[in-house]
Amino acid sequence: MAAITPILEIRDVVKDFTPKGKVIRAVDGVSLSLAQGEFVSIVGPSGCGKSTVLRMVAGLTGATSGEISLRGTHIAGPRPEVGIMFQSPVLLPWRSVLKNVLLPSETQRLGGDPRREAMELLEVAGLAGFENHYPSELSGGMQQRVAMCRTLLRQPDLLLLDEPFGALDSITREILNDELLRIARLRDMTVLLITHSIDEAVYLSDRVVLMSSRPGKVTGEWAIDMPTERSLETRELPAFGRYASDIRESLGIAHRGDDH
Amino acid sequence: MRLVKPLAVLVLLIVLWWLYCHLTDIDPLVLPPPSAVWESLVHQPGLFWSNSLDTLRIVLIGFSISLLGGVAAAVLMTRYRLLEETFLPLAVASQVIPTIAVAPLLVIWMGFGQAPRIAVTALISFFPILINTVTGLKQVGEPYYDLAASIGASKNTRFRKIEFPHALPFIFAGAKMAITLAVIGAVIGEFVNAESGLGFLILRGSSQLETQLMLAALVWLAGMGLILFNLVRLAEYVAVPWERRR
Repeated sequence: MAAITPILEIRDVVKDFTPKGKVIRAVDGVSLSLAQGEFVSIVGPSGCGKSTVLRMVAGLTGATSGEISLRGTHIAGPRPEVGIMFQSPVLLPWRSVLKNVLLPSETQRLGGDPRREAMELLEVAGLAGFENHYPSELSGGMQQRVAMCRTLLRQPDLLLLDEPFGALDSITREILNDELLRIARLRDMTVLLITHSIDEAVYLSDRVVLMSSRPGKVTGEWAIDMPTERSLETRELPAFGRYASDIRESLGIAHRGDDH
Repeated sequence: MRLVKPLAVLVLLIVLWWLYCHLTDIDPLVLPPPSAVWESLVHQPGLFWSNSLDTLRIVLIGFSISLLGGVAAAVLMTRYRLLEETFLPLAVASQVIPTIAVAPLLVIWMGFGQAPRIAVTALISFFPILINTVTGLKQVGEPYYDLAASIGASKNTRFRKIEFPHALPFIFAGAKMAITLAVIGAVIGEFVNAESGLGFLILRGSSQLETQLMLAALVWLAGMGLILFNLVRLAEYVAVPWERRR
């Protein structure tokens, strides 16, 4: 197999926070590489720093030390090629669905026809006909879909997701899992997902990475060797169960490892 | 119709008032019957009209000053921490001083004429706008700042597209309070510096022992306050449609 050049490189990244003079090490030397088109999930106990890692990749905070680069260029701030979705949709309640999706086109120049792109995205996301509705009229799952369309408007190569489905019920969650996978594959996007759900991680990913509790370090990595075509059957495969319980067990150890 | 219940109570009160005057020996100087007030209203409409307009002018100018000033001050305070830390506590403290006590002082400083009356009006209605706008701007929340950063929005863009619209419902809440206070402020100004206006009419009624004039002026004041308040509500209805849908 030819060497695959990583698109995203996280190398020995450390993040300290200094509230009121104390130093709290949130992330303690995390290294991770993602290849083009890979879908990688990070799981770990609450507070293990996985969101912090994501925010650093998104350029929302800087690393205390270490290096994060996208296609060889250092990440110093938010970049148009990197899209991020948060746990809450963060839609603007005074704007319609369409105008919400179009927001990135108002802050940065985007080529092409953003409006047409937005309408297409909404259709792909199953929201055709809702363009002129307001966020308050939509369910949580629909709002997250709008947020997804907004993130995809700039056609990012790298998609960062911080537990985007955490606030949704499990049925909606599974539906959106499949949509996410479909869209990611359609656009050959590289995806880094933070999630608390081990099942979700195993279902969606090519690789699952485990982080320990604070200060966060990578304590495990699993290459998920299952058929590329993910569906309901996938969740029934013995391999699925094995990966999930393996990770769960390691998570138990990682969780017990903290002495707070 | 929603208005039926309040109107019914109002009518009931007027009937009770009439009954009280009719059945007791109360001096018309102390409590004139409804008919006297009605006479006053109907016989001199021009008097009330012109004085109302005088009061209204003060209210509108004072309110506009406090609206623009309050929002501007709130924006500056949210942008520059130092300004907030220095001036917001002072603004809160100033609210403790009764405006009615400050009014005569303003006359001494600003002379007779409209200026002190406008100043009193602006002062009394400034604070609700300031505090509500500050609250609205500060409520925006971390996720919105993250969103703005992730799409490469400059601070100005973020303010225009995210922070200010977010604060609009709060600004209107403050404006509704401020407009009612502005009417009070204008009347206080007139009490202290009487030249014209509905407050002036009340004073005149008092000094000429024409209680019905005082009550009639109150009716006009109440009407003015109601209309102005509902105009602000109407503006809110138009400008803040998204809060409606809840």
